[in-house]
Amino acid sequence: MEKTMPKKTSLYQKHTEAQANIIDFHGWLLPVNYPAGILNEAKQTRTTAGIFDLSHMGEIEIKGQDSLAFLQKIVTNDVSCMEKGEVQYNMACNPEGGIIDDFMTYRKEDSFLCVVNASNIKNVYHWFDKNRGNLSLEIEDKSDDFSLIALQGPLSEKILKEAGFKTVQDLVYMHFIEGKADGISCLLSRTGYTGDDGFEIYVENKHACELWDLFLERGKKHDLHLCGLGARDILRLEMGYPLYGNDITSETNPIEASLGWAVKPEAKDFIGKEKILEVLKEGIKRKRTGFIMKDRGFPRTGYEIYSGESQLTGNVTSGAFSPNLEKFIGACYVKKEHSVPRTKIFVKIRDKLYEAEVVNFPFLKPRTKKEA
Amino acid sequence: MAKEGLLFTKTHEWAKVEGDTAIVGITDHAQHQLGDIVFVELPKAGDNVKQSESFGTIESTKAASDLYSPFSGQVLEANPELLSNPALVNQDPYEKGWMIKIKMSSREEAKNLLDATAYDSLLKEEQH
Repeated sequence: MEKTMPKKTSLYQKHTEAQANIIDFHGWLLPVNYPAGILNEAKQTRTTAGIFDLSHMGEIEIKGQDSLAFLQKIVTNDVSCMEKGEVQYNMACNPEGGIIDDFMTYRKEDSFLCVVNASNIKNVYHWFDKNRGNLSLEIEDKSDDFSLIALQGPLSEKILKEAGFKTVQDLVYMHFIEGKADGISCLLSRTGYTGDDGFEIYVENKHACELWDLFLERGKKHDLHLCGLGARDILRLEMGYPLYGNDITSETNPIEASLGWAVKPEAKDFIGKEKILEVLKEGIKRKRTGFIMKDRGFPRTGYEIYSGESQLTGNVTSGAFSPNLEKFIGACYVKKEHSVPRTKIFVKIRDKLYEAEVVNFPFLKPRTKKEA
Repeated sequence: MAKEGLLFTKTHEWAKVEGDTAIVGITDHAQHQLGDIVFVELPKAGDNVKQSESFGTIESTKAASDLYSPFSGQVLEANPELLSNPALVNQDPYEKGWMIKIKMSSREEAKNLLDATAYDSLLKEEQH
Protein backbone atom coordinates (compact mmCIF):
# COMPACT_ATOMS: atom_id res chain seq x y z
CA MET A 1 0.00 0.00 0.00
CA GLU A 2 1.38 3.36 -0.97
CA LYS A 3 2.31 5.67 1.87
CA THR A 4 0.47 8.98 1.65
CA MET A 5 2.63 12.08 1.41
CA PRO A 6 2.85 14.07 4.62
CA LYS A 7 0.89 17.31 4.62
CA LYS A 8 2.22 20.83 4.97
CA THR A 9 0.53 23.55 6.97
CA SER A 10 0.04 27.00 5.43
CA LEU A 11 3.07 28.14 7.42
CA TYR A 12 5.46 25.46 6.16
CA GLN A 13 7.57 27.84 4.13
CA LYS A 14 7.97 30.14 7.12
CA HIS A 15 9.47 27.23 9.03
CA THR A 16 11.91 26.21 6.32
CA GLU A 17 12.97 29.83 5.89
CA ALA A 18 13.64 29.98 9.62
CA GLN A 19 15.78 26.82 9.29
CA ALA A 20 13.50 24.71 11.43
CA ASN A 21 14.27 21.07 12.07
CA ILE A 22 11.18 19.52 10.41
CA ILE A 23 9.69 16.11 11.22
CA ASP A 24 6.69 14.08 10.13
CA PHE A 25 4.26 14.36 13.01
CA HIS A 26 1.24 12.11 12.44
CA GLY A 27 1.30 12.89 8.73
CA TRP A 28 2.16 16.60 9.09
CA LEU A 29 5.52 18.24 8.38
CA LEU A 30 6.15 20.41 11.41
CA PRO A 31 9.10 21.95 13.25
CA VAL A 32 10.33 19.96 16.22
CA ASN A 33 12.61 22.91 16.92
CA TYR A 34 14.26 25.94 15.36
CA PRO A 35 17.98 26.81 15.58
CA ALA A 36 17.61 28.03 19.19
CA GLY A 37 16.97 24.43 20.27
CA ILE A 38 14.24 22.72 22.25
CA LEU A 39 15.48 23.68 25.72
CA ASN A 40 15.97 27.37 24.91
CA GLU A 41 12.56 27.54 23.27
CA ALA A 42 10.86 25.99 26.30
CA LYS A 43 12.69 28.33 28.65
CA GLN A 44 12.06 31.43 26.56
CA THR A 45 8.30 30.81 26.36
CA ARG A 46 8.05 31.21 30.12
CA THR A 47 10.42 34.20 30.17
CA THR A 48 9.02 36.32 27.32
CA ALA A 49 6.82 34.52 24.78
CA GLY A 50 6.79 31.74 22.20
CA ILE A 51 4.88 31.31 18.94
CA PHE A 52 3.77 27.88 17.71
CA ASP A 53 2.19 26.54 14.49
CA LEU A 54 -0.55 24.16 15.60
CA SER A 55 -2.41 23.94 12.30
CA HIS A 56 -2.28 20.15 12.38
CA MET A 57 -4.91 20.06 15.17
CA GLY A 58 -8.39 18.95 14.17
CA GLU A 59 -11.53 21.08 14.27
CA ILE A 60 -14.88 19.28 14.24
CA GLU A 61 -18.00 21.42 14.21
CA ILE A 62 -21.33 20.24 15.61
CA LYS A 63 -24.36 22.23 14.45
CA GLY A 64 -28.11 21.86 14.71
CA GLN A 65 -31.00 21.55 17.09
CA ASP A 66 -29.73 18.52 18.98
CA SER A 67 -26.04 19.49 19.21
CA LEU A 68 -26.12 19.99 22.96
CA ALA A 69 -27.97 16.73 23.59
CA PHE A 70 -25.55 14.91 21.31
CA LEU A 71 -22.43 16.25 22.98
CA GLN A 72 -23.80 15.57 26.44
CA LYS A 73 -24.19 11.95 25.41
CA ILE A 74 -20.63 11.69 24.05
CA VAL A 75 -18.43 13.70 26.41
CA THR A 76 -17.56 13.32 30.07
CA ASN A 77 -17.84 16.95 31.19
CA ASP A 78 -21.11 18.87 31.58
CA VAL A 79 -21.43 20.84 28.37
CA SER A 80 -24.80 22.31 29.41
CA CYS A 81 -22.95 24.50 31.93
CA MET A 82 -21.08 26.23 29.13
CA GLU A 83 -21.91 29.81 28.25
CA LYS A 84 -21.43 31.08 24.73
CA GLY A 85 -17.83 32.19 24.45
CA GLU A 86 -16.60 29.59 26.88
CA VAL A 87 -14.08 26.78 26.37
CA GLN A 88 -14.24 23.50 28.25
CA TYR A 89 -11.84 20.56 28.56
CA ASN A 90 -13.50 17.30 27.59
CA MET A 91 -12.98 13.63 26.90
CA ALA A 92 -14.92 11.16 24.79
CA CYS A 93 -14.94 7.63 26.21
CA ASN A 94 -15.79 4.23 24.79
CA PRO A 95 -18.30 1.99 26.61
CA GLU A 96 -15.43 0.44 28.62
CA GLY A 97 -14.59 3.86 30.00
CA GLY A 98 -11.38 4.10 27.96
CA ILE A 99 -10.46 7.51 26.55
CA ILE A 100 -10.95 7.95 22.79
CA ASP A 101 -9.56 11.47 22.78
CA ASP A 102 -9.25 14.56 24.95
CA PHE A 103 -10.14 17.88 23.40
CA MET A 104 -11.29 21.44 23.99
CA THR A 105 -14.94 22.25 23.32
CA TYR A 106 -15.87 25.79 22.25
CA ARG A 107 -19.47 26.98 22.63
CA LYS A 108 -20.12 29.34 19.74
CA GLU A 109 -23.25 31.31 18.90
CA ASP A 110 -24.86 28.56 16.79
CA SER A 111 -22.59 25.58 17.15
CA PHE A 112 -19.94 23.72 19.13
CA LEU A 113 -16.36 23.39 17.98
CA CYS A 114 -14.28 20.43 19.19
CA VAL A 115 -10.54 20.91 18.80
CA VAL A 116 -9.11 17.39 18.74
CA ASN A 117 -5.65 15.85 18.59
CA ALA A 118 -4.10 15.62 15.13
CA SER A 119 -3.54 11.89 15.61
CA ASN A 120 -7.22 11.29 16.34
CA ILE A 121 -9.18 13.43 13.88
CA LYS A 122 -10.54 10.51 11.90
CA ASN A 123 -11.22 8.40 15.00
CA VAL A 124 -13.17 11.15 16.70
CA TYR A 125 -15.13 12.03 13.59
CA HIS A 126 -16.13 8.40 13.07
CA TRP A 127 -17.02 8.02 16.74
CA PHE A 128 -19.25 11.09 16.60
CA ASP A 129 -20.85 9.95 13.37
CA LYS A 130 -21.42 6.42 14.63
CA ASN A 131 -23.20 7.68 17.72
CA ARG A 132 -25.41 10.38 16.27
CA GLY A 133 -28.48 8.13 16.31
CA ASN A 134 -31.58 9.90 15.07
CA LEU A 135 -30.56 13.27 16.42
CA SER A 136 -30.98 16.38 14.31
CA LEU A 137 -27.48 17.70 13.76
CA GLU A 138 -24.57 18.19 11.35
CA ILE A 139 -21.08 16.98 12.10
CA GLU A 140 -18.43 18.59 9.94
CA ASP A 141 -14.68 18.03 9.89
CA LYS A 142 -13.33 21.52 9.29
CA SER A 143 -9.69 20.72 10.09
CA ASP A 144 -8.45 21.58 6.60
CA ASP A 145 -10.12 25.00 6.69
CA PHE A 146 -8.29 26.33 9.72
CA SER A 147 -4.75 27.31 10.60
CA LEU A 148 -3.97 27.61 14.29
CA ILE A 149 -1.28 29.82 15.81
CA ALA A 150 -0.49 29.77 19.52
CA LEU A 151 1.13 32.66 21.34
CA GLN A 152 2.14 31.67 24.86
CA GLY A 153 4.06 33.31 27.69
CA PRO A 154 3.97 36.35 30.00
CA LEU A 155 4.32 38.86 27.16
CA SER A 156 1.76 37.26 24.85
CA GLU A 157 -1.05 39.66 25.81
CA LYS A 158 1.14 42.67 25.11
CA ILE A 159 2.18 41.32 21.71
CA LEU A 160 -1.43 40.61 20.74
CA LYS A 161 -2.52 44.05 21.78
CA GLU A 162 0.18 45.64 19.67
CA ALA A 163 -0.85 43.39 16.78
CA GLY A 164 -4.30 45.00 16.80
CA PHE A 165 -6.31 42.78 19.18
CA LYS A 166 -7.51 45.80 21.08
CA THR A 167 -9.76 44.16 23.67
CA VAL A 168 -7.47 41.27 24.54
CA GLN A 169 -7.04 42.37 28.17
CA ASP A 170 -10.74 41.72 28.78
CA LEU A 171 -10.51 38.11 27.63
CA VAL A 172 -10.29 35.64 30.49
CA TYR A 173 -8.75 32.13 30.56
CA MET A 174 -10.89 29.45 28.90
CA HIS A 175 -12.93 32.00 26.97
CA PHE A 176 -12.86 33.17 23.38
CA ILE A 177 -14.05 35.94 21.08
CA GLU A 178 -14.52 36.14 17.36
CA GLY A 179 -13.58 39.29 15.55
CA LYS A 180 -11.15 41.06 13.29
CA ALA A 181 -7.64 42.25 13.87
CA ASP A 182 -5.87 44.24 11.20
CA GLY A 183 -8.75 43.31 8.89
CA ILE A 184 -8.24 39.56 9.39
CA SER A 185 -11.18 37.54 10.81
CA CYS A 186 -10.26 35.08 13.48
CA LEU A 187 -11.25 33.31 16.65
CA LEU A 188 -9.09 34.26 19.61
CA SER A 189 -9.15 32.08 22.72
CA ARG A 190 -7.25 32.50 25.93
CA THR A 191 -6.18 28.88 26.10
CA GLY A 192 -3.05 26.85 25.69
CA TYR A 193 -1.04 23.77 26.43
CA THR A 194 1.66 25.48 28.46
CA GLY A 195 0.01 26.58 31.71
CA ASP A 196 1.38 30.05 31.13
CA ASP A 197 -0.79 32.99 30.09
CA GLY A 198 -1.38 32.53 26.40
CA PHE A 199 -3.67 32.50 23.41
CA GLU A 200 -4.67 30.35 20.47
CA ILE A 201 -5.73 32.05 17.27
CA TYR A 202 -7.82 30.25 14.65
CA VAL A 203 -7.64 31.82 11.22
CA GLU A 204 -8.47 30.92 7.61
CA ASN A 205 -5.51 29.30 5.87
CA LYS A 206 -5.15 32.16 3.40
CA HIS A 207 -4.42 34.60 6.24
CA ALA A 208 -2.09 32.39 8.27
CA CYS A 209 1.20 33.71 6.90
CA GLU A 210 0.08 37.31 7.20
CA LEU A 211 -0.86 36.83 10.84
CA TRP A 212 2.33 34.88 11.62
CA ASP A 213 4.45 37.69 10.14
CA LEU A 214 2.44 40.31 12.03
CA PHE A 215 3.02 38.55 15.35
CA LEU A 216 6.73 38.10 14.66
CA GLU A 217 7.02 41.75 13.70
CA ARG A 218 5.28 43.04 16.82
CA GLY A 219 6.94 40.42 18.97
CA LYS A 220 10.49 41.30 17.97
CA LYS A 221 11.03 43.91 20.67
CA HIS A 222 9.47 41.58 23.25
CA ASP A 223 11.88 38.76 22.40
CA LEU A 224 9.19 36.51 20.93
CA HIS A 225 10.67 33.12 20.05
CA LEU A 226 9.77 30.61 17.36
CA CYS A 227 8.94 27.33 19.12
CA GLY A 228 8.45 23.81 17.85
CA LEU A 229 6.83 20.59 19.01
CA GLY A 230 9.78 19.63 21.20
CA ALA A 231 9.40 22.73 23.36
CA ARG A 232 5.61 22.28 23.35
CA ASP A 233 6.03 18.81 24.79
CA ILE A 234 8.28 20.01 27.62
CA LEU A 235 5.96 22.89 28.50
CA ARG A 236 2.87 20.72 28.75
CA LEU A 237 4.73 18.09 30.78
CA GLU A 238 5.86 20.75 33.25
CA MET A 239 2.14 21.28 33.93
CA GLY A 240 1.28 17.59 34.02
CA TYR A 241 -1.06 17.96 31.02
CA PRO A 242 -1.67 14.58 29.41
CA LEU A 243 -0.56 13.78 25.88
CA TYR A 244 -2.89 11.40 24.05
CA GLY A 245 -1.04 8.31 22.96
CA ASN A 246 1.50 8.61 25.78
CA ASP A 247 -0.35 9.39 29.03
CA ILE A 248 -3.90 8.59 28.01
CA THR A 249 -5.15 5.98 25.57
CA SER A 250 -8.24 3.89 24.94
CA GLU A 251 -6.87 1.58 27.66
CA THR A 252 -6.87 4.24 30.38
CA ASN A 253 -9.94 5.60 32.12
CA PRO A 254 -10.24 9.25 33.24
CA ILE A 255 -10.20 8.41 36.95
CA GLU A 256 -6.88 6.59 36.97
CA ALA A 257 -5.56 9.26 34.58
CA SER A 258 -6.19 11.88 37.29
CA LEU A 259 -8.73 13.59 35.04
CA GLY A 260 -11.80 12.88 37.19
CA TRP A 261 -12.35 16.62 37.56
CA ALA A 262 -13.57 16.70 33.94
CA VAL A 263 -16.06 13.87 34.46
CA LYS A 264 -19.58 14.67 35.67
CA PRO A 265 -21.58 11.45 36.09
CA GLU A 266 -24.00 13.10 38.53
CA ALA A 267 -25.05 15.62 35.86
CA LYS A 268 -25.98 13.38 32.93
CA ASP A 269 -25.66 10.08 31.10
CA PHE A 270 -22.79 9.58 28.70
CA ILE A 271 -21.03 6.72 26.94
CA GLY A 272 -18.73 5.01 29.43
CA LYS A 273 -20.56 6.35 32.49
CA GLU A 274 -21.46 2.92 33.95
CA LYS A 275 -17.88 1.71 33.79
CA ILE A 276 -16.58 4.94 35.27
CA LEU A 277 -19.06 4.72 38.16
CA GLU A 278 -17.82 1.17 38.78
CA VAL A 279 -14.23 2.42 38.93
CA LEU A 280 -15.23 5.19 41.31
CA LYS A 281 -16.94 2.65 43.55
CA GLU A 282 -14.21 0.00 43.54
CA GLY A 283 -11.30 2.40 43.53
CA ILE A 284 -8.49 2.65 40.99
CA LYS A 285 -5.62 0.16 40.92
CA ARG A 286 -3.09 2.44 39.29
CA LYS A 287 -2.73 6.20 39.00
CA ARG A 288 -1.13 8.70 36.65
CA THR A 289 1.21 10.88 38.61
CA GLY A 290 4.34 12.95 38.23
CA PHE A 291 7.89 12.27 39.36
CA ILE A 292 11.23 14.05 39.55
CA MET A 293 14.51 12.20 39.08
CA LYS A 294 16.79 12.27 42.10
CA ASP A 295 19.58 10.32 40.42
CA ARG A 296 20.72 11.84 37.16
CA GLY A 297 19.13 9.96 34.28
CA PHE A 298 16.65 10.51 31.46
CA PRO A 299 13.30 8.73 32.11
CA ARG A 300 11.98 7.90 28.65
CA THR A 301 8.51 6.71 27.66
CA GLY A 302 8.14 2.99 28.23
CA TYR A 303 10.84 2.60 30.90
CA GLU A 304 9.82 0.40 33.80
CA ILE A 305 9.29 1.76 37.31
CA TYR A 306 10.05 -0.17 40.47
CA SER A 307 8.95 0.50 44.01
CA GLY A 308 11.25 0.70 47.01
CA GLU A 309 11.07 -3.06 47.43
CA SER A 310 12.29 -3.55 43.84
CA GLN A 311 8.92 -4.69 42.60
CA LEU A 312 7.65 -3.63 39.21
CA THR A 313 4.99 -1.03 39.87
CA GLY A 314 4.46 0.79 36.60
CA ASN A 315 6.05 2.59 33.68
CA VAL A 316 7.02 6.01 32.38
CA THR A 317 4.49 7.50 29.94
CA SER A 318 6.25 10.83 29.35
CA GLY A 319 9.67 12.14 30.33
CA ALA A 320 11.84 15.16 29.59
CA PHE A 321 14.54 17.44 30.84
CA SER A 322 12.78 20.54 32.17
CA PRO A 323 14.92 23.61 31.54
CA ASN A 324 12.58 25.65 33.73
CA LEU A 325 13.14 23.33 36.70
CA GLU A 326 16.59 22.17 35.61
CA LYS A 327 15.62 18.61 36.43
CA PHE A 328 14.50 15.47 34.62
CA ILE A 329 10.76 15.08 35.15
CA GLY A 330 8.14 12.66 33.98
CA ALA A 331 4.63 11.28 34.12
CA CYS A 332 3.90 7.65 34.88
CA TYR A 333 1.32 5.13 35.93
CA VAL A 334 2.20 3.36 39.16
CA LYS A 335 0.19 1.18 41.53
CA LYS A 336 -2.12 3.31 43.63
CA GLU A 337 -0.19 2.65 46.84
CA HIS A 338 2.97 4.06 45.25
CA SER A 339 1.34 7.19 43.86
CA VAL A 340 1.46 9.17 47.10
CA PRO A 341 3.74 12.24 46.85
CA ARG A 342 7.25 11.76 48.26
CA THR A 343 7.16 7.99 47.56
CA LYS A 344 10.56 6.74 46.46
CA ILE A 345 10.46 4.95 43.09
CA PHE A 346 13.12 3.69 40.72
CA VAL A 347 13.21 4.12 36.96
CA LYS A 348 15.02 1.38 35.06
CA ILE A 349 17.33 3.02 32.53
CA ARG A 350 19.44 0.61 30.48
CA ASP A 351 19.27 -2.14 33.12
CA LYS A 352 20.18 0.08 36.09
CA LEU A 353 17.79 1.55 38.65
CA TYR A 354 17.76 5.32 39.08
CA GLU A 355 16.00 6.93 42.03
CA ALA A 356 13.03 9.27 41.60
CA GLU A 357 10.42 10.85 43.82
CA VAL A 358 6.66 10.96 43.21
CA VAL A 359 5.26 14.50 43.02
CA ASN A 360 1.79 15.84 42.28
CA PHE A 361 1.11 17.80 39.10
CA PRO A 362 1.77 20.57 38.20
CA PHE A 363 5.56 20.83 38.52
CA LEU A 364 5.32 24.60 38.04
CA LYS A 365 2.66 27.02 39.19
CA PRO A 366 0.23 27.89 36.36
CA ARG A 367 0.06 31.54 35.33
CA THR A 368 -3.15 31.47 33.32
CA LYS A 369 -5.27 34.60 33.61
CA LYS A 370 -8.42 33.50 35.41
CA GLU A 371 -9.71 36.98 36.15
CA ALA A 372 -9.82 40.14 34.04
CA MET B 1 35.27 21.26 7.54
CA ALA B 2 36.70 18.67 9.91
CA LYS B 3 39.43 19.85 12.22
CA GLU B 4 42.96 19.11 11.08
CA GLY B 5 45.22 17.10 13.35
CA LEU B 6 42.35 14.95 14.62
CA LEU B 7 41.37 11.41 13.77
CA PHE B 8 37.75 10.37 13.33
CA THR B 9 35.53 7.32 13.60
CA LYS B 10 32.70 6.51 11.19
CA THR B 11 30.39 6.96 14.18
CA HIS B 12 31.38 10.63 14.53
CA GLU B 13 33.79 10.57 17.45
CA TRP B 14 37.11 12.44 17.24
CA ALA B 15 40.45 11.58 18.83
CA LYS B 16 43.43 13.86 19.49
CA VAL B 17 46.63 11.89 19.97
CA GLU B 18 49.21 13.40 22.35
CA GLY B 19 52.07 10.94 22.90
CA ASP B 20 50.55 7.90 24.59
CA THR B 21 47.24 9.60 25.31
CA ALA B 22 44.17 10.08 23.18
CA ILE B 23 41.56 12.72 24.08
CA VAL B 24 38.11 11.76 22.80
CA GLY B 25 34.87 13.59 22.04
CA ILE B 26 32.10 13.78 19.44
CA THR B 27 32.18 15.93 16.32
CA ASP B 28 30.26 19.09 15.58
CA HIS B 29 28.16 17.13 13.08
CA ALA B 30 27.21 14.64 15.80
CA GLN B 31 26.23 17.27 18.36
CA HIS B 32 24.16 19.05 15.75
CA GLN B 33 22.33 15.84 14.81
CA LEU B 34 21.62 15.03 18.44
CA GLY B 35 20.22 18.41 19.39
CA ASP B 36 20.22 19.67 22.99
CA ILE B 37 22.32 17.27 25.03
CA VAL B 38 20.95 16.69 28.50
CA PHE B 39 23.00 13.80 29.84
CA VAL B 40 26.35 12.13 29.23
CA GLU B 41 27.26 8.82 30.87
CA LEU B 42 31.02 8.19 30.90
CA PRO B 43 33.34 5.48 32.27
CA LYS B 44 35.55 6.04 35.32
CA ALA B 45 39.31 6.32 35.49
CA GLY B 46 40.74 2.81 35.42
CA ASP B 47 38.00 1.34 33.21
CA ASN B 48 39.11 -0.39 30.01
CA VAL B 49 37.79 0.56 26.60
CA LYS B 50 38.11 -1.12 23.22
CA GLN B 51 38.24 0.38 19.75
CA SER B 52 34.78 0.51 18.11
CA GLU B 53 33.05 -0.60 21.30
CA SER B 54 30.70 1.48 23.40
CA PHE B 55 32.30 3.45 26.23
CA GLY B 56 29.25 5.39 27.32
CA THR B 57 25.96 6.99 26.38
CA ILE B 58 24.90 10.44 25.31
CA GLU B 59 21.31 11.59 25.62
CA SER B 60 19.63 14.47 23.93
CA THR B 61 16.02 15.58 24.28
CA LYS B 62 15.24 13.33 21.33
CA ALA B 63 17.17 10.10 21.86
CA ALA B 64 19.97 8.19 23.55
CA SER B 65 23.05 7.15 21.59
CA ASP B 66 26.04 4.99 22.37
CA LEU B 67 29.52 6.49 22.25
CA TYR B 68 32.14 4.37 20.48
CA SER B 69 35.80 4.47 21.40
CA PRO B 70 38.34 5.37 18.69
CA PHE B 71 41.10 3.57 20.59
CA SER B 72 41.57 0.66 22.99
CA GLY B 73 43.19 1.30 26.32
CA GLN B 74 42.61 2.44 29.87
CA VAL B 75 40.56 5.48 30.82
CA LEU B 76 42.76 8.07 32.55
CA GLU B 77 40.05 10.66 33.15
CA ALA B 78 36.46 11.51 32.29
CA ASN B 79 35.47 15.16 31.89
CA PRO B 80 33.88 16.09 35.25
CA GLU B 81 32.28 19.26 33.77
CA LEU B 82 29.91 17.20 31.60
CA LEU B 83 28.10 15.87 34.65
CA SER B 84 26.69 19.26 35.58
CA ASN B 85 26.91 20.91 32.18
CA PRO B 86 26.28 18.46 29.34
CA ALA B 87 25.47 21.39 27.04
CA LEU B 88 29.25 21.94 26.73
CA VAL B 89 29.20 19.17 24.14
CA ASN B 90 26.85 21.28 21.97
CA GLN B 91 28.69 24.53 22.65
CA ASP B 92 32.31 23.42 22.29
CA PRO B 93 32.52 19.80 21.04
CA TYR B 94 36.29 19.83 20.32
CA GLU B 95 37.57 21.65 23.40
CA LYS B 96 35.48 22.11 26.56
CA GLY B 97 33.18 19.25 25.46
CA TRP B 98 35.96 16.61 25.59
CA MET B 99 34.76 13.34 27.07
CA ILE B 100 37.53 10.94 28.08
CA LYS B 101 41.31 10.67 28.04
CA ILE B 102 42.64 7.21 27.18
CA LYS B 103 46.07 5.68 27.69
CA MET B 104 46.28 3.91 24.34
CA SER B 105 47.28 0.26 24.30
CA SER B 106 48.08 0.25 20.60
CA ARG B 107 48.90 3.35 18.56
CA GLU B 108 48.62 1.26 15.39
CA GLU B 109 44.86 1.24 15.79
CA ALA B 110 45.04 4.73 14.23
CA LYS B 111 45.08 3.04 10.81
CA ASN B 112 41.43 2.07 11.39
CA LEU B 113 40.43 5.71 11.78
CA LEU B 114 39.72 8.50 9.29
CA ASP B 115 41.71 11.69 8.83
CA ALA B 116 40.02 15.08 8.39
CA THR B 117 39.69 14.76 4.62
CA ALA B 118 38.25 11.24 4.80
CA TYR B 119 35.80 12.35 7.51
CA ASP B 120 34.64 15.25 5.37
CA SER B 121 34.00 12.83 2.51
CA LEU B 122 31.98 10.63 4.84
CA LEU B 123 29.82 13.60 5.82
CA LYS B 124 29.21 14.49 2.19
CA GLU B 125 28.17 10.90 1.45
CA GLU B 126 25.82 10.81 4.42
CA GLN B 127 24.03 13.87 3.17
CA HIS B 128 22.74 11.94 0.16
